[in-house]
Amino acid sequence: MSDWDDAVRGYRAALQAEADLDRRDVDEIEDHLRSLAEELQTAGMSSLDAIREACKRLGDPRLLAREHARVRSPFGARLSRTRAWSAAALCAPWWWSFAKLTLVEVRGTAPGMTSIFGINLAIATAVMLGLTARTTWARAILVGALSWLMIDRAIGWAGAGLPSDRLEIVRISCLAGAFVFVVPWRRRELTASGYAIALLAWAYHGANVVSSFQLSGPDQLPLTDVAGSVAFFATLAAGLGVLLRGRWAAVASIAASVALVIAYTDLRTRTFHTATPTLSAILWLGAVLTGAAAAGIAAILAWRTSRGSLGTLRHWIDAPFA
Amino acid sequence: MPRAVRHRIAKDLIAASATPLLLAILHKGPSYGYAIIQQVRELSGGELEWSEGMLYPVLHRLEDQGLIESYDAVGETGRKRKYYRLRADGRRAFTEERRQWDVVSTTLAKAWRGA
Repeated sequence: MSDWDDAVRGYRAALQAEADLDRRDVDEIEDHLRSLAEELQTAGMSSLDAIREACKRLGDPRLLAREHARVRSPFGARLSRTRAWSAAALCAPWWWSFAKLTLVEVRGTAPGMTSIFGINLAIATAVMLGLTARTTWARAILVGALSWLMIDRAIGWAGAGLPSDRLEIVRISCLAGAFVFVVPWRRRELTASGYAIALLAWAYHGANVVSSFQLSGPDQLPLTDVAGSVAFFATLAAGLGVLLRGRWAAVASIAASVALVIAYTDLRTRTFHTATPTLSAILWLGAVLTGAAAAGIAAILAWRTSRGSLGTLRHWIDAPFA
Repeated sequence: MPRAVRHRIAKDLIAASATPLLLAILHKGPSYGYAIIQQVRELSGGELEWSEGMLYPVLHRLEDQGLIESYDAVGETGRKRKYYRLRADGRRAFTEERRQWDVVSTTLAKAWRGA
């Protein structure tokens, strides 16, 4: 039996070395290999000949893996042009207003504020470009970011009424439209890595909420200061790690999750001095706590989909176009 | 005088008929990769030889298009196996493929009559 297992393991390894296949897909091919070899053996072949013949009939693993990679993209099904470009067009008004806010109003206010807005604008711009190019990572980021935003605005508007800026309502409605285009209506439309990215996008919002407290002036929050920075950079690092399939993504996700929990325990003792303190507490604490949970689940997914501790060279090259 | 040689079915034809054939097989009920290959061989009397591994990318493309969906079940061997079944879109695609192929095959049959 060990000849069998060696041959099967060899075939699996050859598949995985060539392209980034989902474990379920490789299991499926292995099952085929074993079924075929068993049939050949029943027909009278020796066990070693049977498994060799089965490997031969399945075909060159490198060709097979390449064909697979063409069909299955790493983070989920590629959006059709109509869906991707409709979503991009619907995100554009929000992106434009955010770019204006960052470059005109926020720039030069406080260094921390400027950098956080700058980083967010860079991510938003990359996502817009990625969506237009129909990359699957951009879609995954949008799924997480928009689902958080939809829930946040729904609760916020229900609690405090619609904003006075009517254009804001239009922009958010457009984003809701974009959400309909990118949301994975079928269960397997996003892969495990795709869901990890979506969850990290959610956690990133939580980290943004915490970070914004350390920027909001004299009311010092020493604990969330550290936790906020850690959560902010750890979610960014984790997202990058998932893109590159490095195991460090899981470590960064756990760090983000822990930082968000610490920030939560600190923030929940504070009083929010806003017009609607209870609503603010629900939204902000909710974002931080669900962000911590999201980062925790993302860590598990990131660990399970990682390929090597640093990621592979191929992923470093392929990631932007995936 | 040149002898009539029976060639294997052309690659293009095999590729073109893959989707309608898979949809038809799954229309009869859920199945898994290995069983599908065997069914294709049986149905075609061994004339349609699919390269076994290449079945999977085709199945996965149909899955990404939302025509079929996969689920895990334990097969008769006791191993966990990935089964496929048609989704509503797949049933519609099956009907449409069937109509188009009927047109092609009746047209060919008429054109060949008396040839």
